[in-house]
Amino acid sequence: MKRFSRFLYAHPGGRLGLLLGPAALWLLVFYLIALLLLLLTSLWQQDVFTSELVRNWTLDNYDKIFSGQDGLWLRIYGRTLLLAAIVTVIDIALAFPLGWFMARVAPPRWRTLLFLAVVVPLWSSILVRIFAWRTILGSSGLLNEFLVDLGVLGGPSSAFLYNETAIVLTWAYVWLPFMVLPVFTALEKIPDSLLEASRDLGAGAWPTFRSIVFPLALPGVVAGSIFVFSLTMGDFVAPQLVGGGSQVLGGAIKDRFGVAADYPFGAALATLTLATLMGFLFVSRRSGAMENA
Amino acid sequence: MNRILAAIGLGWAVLALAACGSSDDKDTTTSGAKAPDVNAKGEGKLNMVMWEGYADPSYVKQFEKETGCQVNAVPAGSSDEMYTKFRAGGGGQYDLASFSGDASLRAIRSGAVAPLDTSKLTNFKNVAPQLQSPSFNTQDGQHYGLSFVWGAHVLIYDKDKIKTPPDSWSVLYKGSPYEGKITVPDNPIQIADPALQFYGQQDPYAISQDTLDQVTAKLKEQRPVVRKYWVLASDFEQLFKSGDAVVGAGWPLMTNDLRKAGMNVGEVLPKEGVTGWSDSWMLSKNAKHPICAYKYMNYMTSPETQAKVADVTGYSPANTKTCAVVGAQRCKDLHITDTKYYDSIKYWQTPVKPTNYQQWTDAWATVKG
Amino acid sequence: MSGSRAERWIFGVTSALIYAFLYLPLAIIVLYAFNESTVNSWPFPGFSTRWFDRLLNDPSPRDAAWLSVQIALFSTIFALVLGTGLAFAFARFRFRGREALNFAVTLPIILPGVITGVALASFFLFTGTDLSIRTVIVGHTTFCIVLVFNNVLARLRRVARSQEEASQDLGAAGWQTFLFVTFPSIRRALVAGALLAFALSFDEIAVTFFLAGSDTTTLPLWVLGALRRTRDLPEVNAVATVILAISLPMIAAAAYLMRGEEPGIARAE
Repeated sequence: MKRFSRFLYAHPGGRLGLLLGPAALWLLVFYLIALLLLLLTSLWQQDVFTSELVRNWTLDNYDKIFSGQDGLWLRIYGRTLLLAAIVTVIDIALAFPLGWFMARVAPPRWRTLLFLAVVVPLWSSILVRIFAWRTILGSSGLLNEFLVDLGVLGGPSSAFLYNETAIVLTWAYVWLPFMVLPVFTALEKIPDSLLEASRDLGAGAWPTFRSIVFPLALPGVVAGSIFVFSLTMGDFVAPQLVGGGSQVLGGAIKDRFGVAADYPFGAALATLTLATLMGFLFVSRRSGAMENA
Repeated sequence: MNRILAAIGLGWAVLALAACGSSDDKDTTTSGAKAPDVNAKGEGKLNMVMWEGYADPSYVKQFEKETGCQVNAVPAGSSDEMYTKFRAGGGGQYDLASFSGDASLRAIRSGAVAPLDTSKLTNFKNVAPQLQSPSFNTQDGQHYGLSFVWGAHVLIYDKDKIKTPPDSWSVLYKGSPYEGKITVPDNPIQIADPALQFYGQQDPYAISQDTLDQVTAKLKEQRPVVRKYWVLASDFEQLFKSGDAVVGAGWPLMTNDLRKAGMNVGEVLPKEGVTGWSDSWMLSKNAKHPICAYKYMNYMTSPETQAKVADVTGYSPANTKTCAVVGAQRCKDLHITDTKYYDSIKYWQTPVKPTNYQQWTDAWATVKG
Repeated sequence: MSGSRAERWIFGVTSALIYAFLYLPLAIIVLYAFNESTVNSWPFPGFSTRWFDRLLNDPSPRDAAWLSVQIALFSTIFALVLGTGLAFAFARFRFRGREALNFAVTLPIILPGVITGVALASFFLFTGTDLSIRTVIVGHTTFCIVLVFNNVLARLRRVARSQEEASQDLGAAGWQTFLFVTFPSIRRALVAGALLAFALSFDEIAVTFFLAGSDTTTLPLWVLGALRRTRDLPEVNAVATVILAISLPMIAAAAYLMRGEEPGIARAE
């Protein structure tokens, strides 16, 4: 043991290898190579009848995405991006007031409690929380009964559930904590002195927000946006539970791997999703949100 | 230099991966079925992927007690799902599957299922004659599946909201008085239904590209009036219970479940014709518990259990001796010996030509949008 | 800190509404766990604790929960080992490929679970590995590594090395220094990372969906299955209520452990 210890002391390379090796190897095999395999699978085909993988190289799957079926897949891709963007914007809009309250308005001793109060919902099954929205938005659910009682609606409306609105609402709800936390962290770091100076110089709330608060909170916003966008693009639970017929990428990928075996096409869709998100990651790195603490 | 080496190394790795890696055991030589000794002690466990209702506690518990085989039953919502799950990760995950006719041939062709030894299937001789060696589970004289239950897709409606029983499938499409409160399955195989019902396709699983296009157009027209496409049986039941749907295309299982939950629902077989399914138990080639599997197959096709399964699902049993157990009236209701009725149903099959299942799946994706 | 009264009022009310939004579904879940009928209408017919009774007698969610605990434990332990080593490497050494590795370790948690799940499913299909608890653990460990890594690295950067050096100058062996000097200083970060990893693994659905075998029914998979059986729906609400009840003390414990640290466990980098 002592000799091993001495060896490590004398050979920093060895120490580094020991520390770095396992994790690097794990990631290489179980992630990078797996992703590579995904890419390869997207370049192969499958037997139409038995759904068995056939290793003929082809670009057919990508052809189908970009020019097949009257642009169906491009529409689905675009729809997913649009919905993800809407959800991100909603969550940013909700995260700012909440984050500001937590970071600067509420008494400091409340801060941990408020912070935890945002985190607690994450500890309850995500599936059940999504399912709860079905209960709330349905024809005989809470929202409809409420609106009918108020007289706003004549009878229960089917406009709240099993459509894209329901999916957006559910997604915005489920991922909100992931936006609040980084925004809160960023807002908390803004020095009081800056805000005081701004006030002393006569700037009102909006100019202060625009010139000081938002730029300083931007890394948090970007970090939260990456999370929300990514989670949204990959989710297949909400579309199935509260969505209607229109498909989104996450659901389409899941269908092709878990329900209707079409691994090559599913892999192509997954690669497309992957490429899109990597693109966003590279763009966002510039804003410094990706820098490690 | 390092980077070049790394790139070359990566390139080699890619090629190596592409070349090797395992492939499914393609041994489709049917060297005769060799069943294990069914009377021997079971292996203690049984993994199945099957339709909902095929492993109900009301009869499974007794099986577990009698044989010591602990049943692990995983439900699938569609044939696709069942087939995918069955074949996932090496094919040894599940011992049995209850494949309908549209998955059974795919399973046989891909070499995923083993031939069955009918001498060890104690109830085989009592299975209705047309179900003993049907083309969807018997190939080249080899039996790959044991027919189990069958049934038709039915039109289910809420009697409290719809006073006169509908008699046409058109009540599910545009122009129906119940637009916006309709539910139909989310399954490409559904294309066969309008093909049969509105385009006169007597073999609705072998339709031309033209017919496929016409059917797709009709389904696209239907899309706006559908409240939700159901994926799971409980989706369907929930929609009815919450009042989101009042009419839909479903399985007798749902009528059963809804009535048990206190709803007043009715079930009809409209005049344009019905599709349906005929399910067989199939054994995985890499089954880890073949003795338990055979025991289960025999248990499930015994008249007493078949009657219980019919109670749970409302489907028609394959074993004709079940009539003695359920009595004449129920025997008639379940059409157990009614071959004319059996023949009137267009059972699920995998479309191969002129249009194949891949094309159907693509068409369905276009319908959903 | 505090602004004008108007500012406090506006932000306070808005925040209260947002919190209400966050907790509405939770309230619904807990409420409906006491729903007498299986129909999720509002208001529901009557109160009943029968679903909790059912839960007590139903082994399947308990088995599923136990399986989830086991998977989470193993994944957390592996993540602790791999992530801590990685953090030390980053904190103490300079090496090429640093940025790339940093990026690679964060990917599994930034990219959606469906991608990790589908990629690993393809991988296991390739190697012909049966899907089982082991494949799920592999999947979970992969995205848990970064959680430990980030926390430990952040902590290491703030810890002065002087104490370690002093310990070694005083003649302590390498492992003694680690055990008595280094380890205590990163203990909190390890716990924070472990709690996060455990929580994420326990409730994970996307990756698990593609890597679970026929006998790997984790709690989320059990819930997914239970959602298919209408008769069991309120039992699902009961299960969720129980999970919430159990995790509240755990969160309190986490809060206690993290007092004095900056709140910000979900570092998104």
